[in-house]
Parts: sequence; C-alpha cells; structure tokens
Amino acid sequence: MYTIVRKIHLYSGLSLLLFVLLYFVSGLVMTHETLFPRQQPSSTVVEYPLEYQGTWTAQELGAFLATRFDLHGRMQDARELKDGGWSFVYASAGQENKLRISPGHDKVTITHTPQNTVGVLHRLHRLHRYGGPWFYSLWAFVYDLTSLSMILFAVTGIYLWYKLTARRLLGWILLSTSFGYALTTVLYLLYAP
Amino acid sequence: MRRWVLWFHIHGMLLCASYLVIFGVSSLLFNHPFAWATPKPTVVRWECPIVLEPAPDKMKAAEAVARQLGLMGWVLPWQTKLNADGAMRIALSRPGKEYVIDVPPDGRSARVEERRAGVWQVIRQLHGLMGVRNSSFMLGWAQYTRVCTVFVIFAAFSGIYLFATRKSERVAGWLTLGIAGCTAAAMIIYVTVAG
Repeated sequence: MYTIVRKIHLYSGLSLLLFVLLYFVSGLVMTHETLFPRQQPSSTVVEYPLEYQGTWTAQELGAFLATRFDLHGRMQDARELKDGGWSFVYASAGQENKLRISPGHDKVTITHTPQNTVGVLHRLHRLHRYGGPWFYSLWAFVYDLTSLSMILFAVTGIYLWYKLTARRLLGWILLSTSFGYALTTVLYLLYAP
Repeated sequence: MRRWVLWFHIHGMLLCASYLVIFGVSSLLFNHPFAWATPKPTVVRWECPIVLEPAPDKMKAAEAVARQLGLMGWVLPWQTKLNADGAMRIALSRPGKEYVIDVPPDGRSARVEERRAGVWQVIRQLHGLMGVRNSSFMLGWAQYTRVCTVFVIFAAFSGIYLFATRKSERVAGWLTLGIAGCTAAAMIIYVTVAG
C-alpha cells in the first residue's frame, strides 16, 4: 500500500509539475502587484469595412468575425449596443481584441492589445471553463487534473508522512495547526460581522 | 542533505496541507460553477445608530460608516452613492458577506441589508486571498497564502531532488518529467501565442 501511494504521489507530481509551477508562480505574481506591476500594454486601433450577409446573432456574427479577421482566443462579452452597433471581445493568454461594429453595420474597429509577461501570467492563471475552441476544453481538463492533484498531494502526503515517520508529534502539531487555522478562518468569515 | 530536504518537504507540506485542499477545491469550483456551490444568499436586515462625520468624498464617508458599524470589507465605488441631500447608499463586500447600507439624510442611523454566502463560496474566496480590509485577523491568512505559495514551489523542486537521488526511480521519473514537461510547455506556448 505504501509503495502504491508513494508512486501515485511521485508520478502525479512529476506529470503535472509544470502546470503546478505555472499556477503557483503566476499566483505569486498576482498577489504581489507592487513587485510585479501590471503596466498597461500599448494597443493598435484599425478600422475595416464590414460586409456581412449572415444572421445578426452574437454566435453567427462572432464566428464570421473570428474567421474574417483571424482572431485568436475565445469570444467573450458579445452584445448588441443601444445605438445598434455590436461589441465583441476575443481574448487569449497572449492578446486581446476588442471589436466595435458601427451602428450602420458598415465598419468594424478592432483594438488589438498584446499582453506583456505579467499580463500573460495573469491570463494563464485565470484561464478556465470548458467551451470555445477545442484547445480551451483540453486546457480546462488539465486545469481540473491540476486542481485534483492538490488534494491528492495533501492526502497521499499525509499518509506517507504517517507511514514514514516514527516520531510524529511535530507532524501532528503542524497538521492540527493547518486544518485548525483554515477551519477557524472559514467560520470567522461565515459568522463575523 | 537528502534527509533535511525530505524533512522540510514533509513538514512544510503538513503545515500547508489544508491550503492545498482549499486550492484544489476552490480551483475546481472556478472551473465548474455548480448550482449547489452558489446558493442564494441568506438575507438579514438590521439597524444601528451612527454618527455621520463630515468627509471629503463619498468613499471616505462610506468607509467611516463601515468602521462605525464594525464591518470589514471593501467599499464598492460603482455601487456607492452620496445624494445631494446627504443620504447615502453604500455597497460593502468581503468574502462571506455583502452589505447594502442605507444612511438617511440626518446621518443618525444606518439600515443594513446583510447577504450571507455559503461555505463553498467562502472556500472559493479564500483562494489566494491576501487579507480583508479592516480585519486584523485576516492579515494572518495573507501571510499563510504567501508561505504556502512559496512552499509549494519549494516542494516541487525538492520533490525532483528526492526522486533523482534514488537510483531505482531515476529513469522512469526523468522520462515522466521529460514527456509531461515538454507536453505542458507546448500547451502553454500554444495557448499564449496561437490560442
């Protein structure tokens, strides 16, 4: 049993190591904005004529725009505006494209913003949910595996410590402190004024 | 050397075990917003006398009201209003609760509508939380977040060291790390450049 649990702990860790490092390094960058400030990247704005014969729905129009202008990423925030125009955002980890269709439906203005390193790390960290191009669902699946691995590392790690260590007092103190503190914090946030 | 690395790997992660579980559960909830994990909030209303002090702007006035009521959290500027007659509507938010506070023009009382979130929402909001405004208690959680984040990075590298120093697992381990690492790197590059 010990050998099996150890192999699970080891090989799941090795398999997902790079993703675990990605999430924790990007998490460190996100929680220390004074050390890693998010500088506003520069954008380019270009206007194009628009010729669209299809149905004016977010889904169909969005798909047309993605193909016509070779837009990367997933479509987000597609909506018809009060003035009759349309607004779309296509975002990926490395760039963002905001599209604004004129009220007369004859022009589209594209604001293209490439992300810098800090921006990419923020976006990679927040990239989740299934849907969109197939690659994003694959990413979401790996994200799920990485999330599950956190729980797996904790559970298998506790088992391995228990089996490996003869003198467990310090371990019990650390484990009790960890779970006790987390539980206290959850209760505090639920019930404190 | 190996003995000490193993000791720190084990005992550091025992200290961070609960946060690992919180990271895992909260991340799953981000990826799968299940309805049972986001129930409708419980609403409680109460009233309290206050003394509205003069303040240079609506944000300072709102924060002063929150302090008088003993509430922690962040004032939401886009939902906070100060009318010409002096009446205020303040939106305050923190993990676990949201408040809408109405202060009448005389500024002598505050009517509070408190929306209480469920335990799953609190667990989700603890993910990477670096403290809560006006809460000394939550400063500890900010440090715990920092410690656990750094320690997981240490555990990743110490884990490589620990398997690499064992002859029996070296080949299989490096093979797994190599294949998985290259696949992961390719995915990260693809989603950044072409995704």
